[in-house]
Amino acid sequence: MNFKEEYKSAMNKISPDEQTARRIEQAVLQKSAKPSKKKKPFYVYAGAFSGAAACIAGAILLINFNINTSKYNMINAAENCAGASAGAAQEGSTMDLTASSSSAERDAILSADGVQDQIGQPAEPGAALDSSVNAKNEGSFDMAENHVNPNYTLEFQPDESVIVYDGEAKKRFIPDNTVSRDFQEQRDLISAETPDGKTVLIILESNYLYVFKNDLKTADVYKLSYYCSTN
Amino acid sequence: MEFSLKTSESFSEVMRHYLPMVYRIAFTRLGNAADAEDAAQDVFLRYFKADKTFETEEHRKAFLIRCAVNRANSYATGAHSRHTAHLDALENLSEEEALTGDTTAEAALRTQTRREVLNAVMRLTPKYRTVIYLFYFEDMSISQIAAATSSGESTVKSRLSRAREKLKAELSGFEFD
Repeated sequence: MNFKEEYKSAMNKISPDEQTARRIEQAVLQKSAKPSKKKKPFYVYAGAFSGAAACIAGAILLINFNINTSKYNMINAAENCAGASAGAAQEGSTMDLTASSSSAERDAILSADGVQDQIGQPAEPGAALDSSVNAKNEGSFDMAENHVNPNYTLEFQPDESVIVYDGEAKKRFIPDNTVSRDFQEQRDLISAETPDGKTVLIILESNYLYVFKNDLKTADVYKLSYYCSTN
Repeated sequence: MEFSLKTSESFSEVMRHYLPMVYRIAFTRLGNAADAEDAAQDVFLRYFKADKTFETEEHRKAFLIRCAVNRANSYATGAHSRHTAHLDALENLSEEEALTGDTTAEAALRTQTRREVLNAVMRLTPKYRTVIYLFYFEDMSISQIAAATSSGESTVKSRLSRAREKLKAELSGFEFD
């Protein structure tokens, strides 16, 4: 008996039947017709990078603080050592010099700490603060306006839904809730125009639309209702 | 024959033509019909998404074989591997004979022989099974098998030689050319 012949005959019987073949074909066509997963929006990466940068800055500050502290301890040790051997005038003058320099350094550290404390104190609400916040917000607004995307057009509908025209795509969002966020950067906001020429700052995720109010911290959230092409 | 993958009709042609081969490669490696079906589905999905153009049908076949071997290996090592025996397909052998109405003693003996051959091959370790399939069923050369399995030619030769030794020990009276 020939192994090859028998093996081929046996393997020929192992084949998907018509129903299985059709099922596989349909599954492949169905899966390949699905749109590919949308890339993460830019602000997700921006957030991750700024987080990493903050960590590195913190680590550098900590290292600096440790170096200063160890320097201060070293100077103290030198002071004690010099005080114990206070015999020679030359040595005494050296000690004075060291002591004065060390106290100046200590003062500098203390004053730096004092400044830090002042910064660390919670700010009281006042006109000056309001104006600075407003100035910041206006600046942020300008910054956000630099990211004008002329493709986005928003239409607020009488039923409180919002239609967003994104190039050739038309998306309808329905009101969901209102959120607020506390953040420093406004770079993730993009500006969109309404038919009457007003500029609105938004974040457009795959299924959610955030329409920001003037304070740039609170936003009305809309959920995607339907998506179609304008063509 | 040049297929364009942009139309589903031509994809269907390719799939219908190569599905048995892809399915057998996956079955040989995985040992059960359900996993083989899933792996075959993955292979054709990748093929469809790759949207490659092939100079010849041999190139297309080589691409699909390599893809099937890789997918079957991933399935075998993956968490979803079912680790079931290959009895389901072997049972199909006798069912097929029954369907053809050939119930003579000679047909029964033929079925029995094929079952023995298939059983012996399926008892080999997966790396030997794949080499045996590609060499004896697909009539591929050592270099072609080496390319398809991403192994060296000497590795393929030694696997083939060891697989033959094991089969000879199990199947007496068979010639291996």
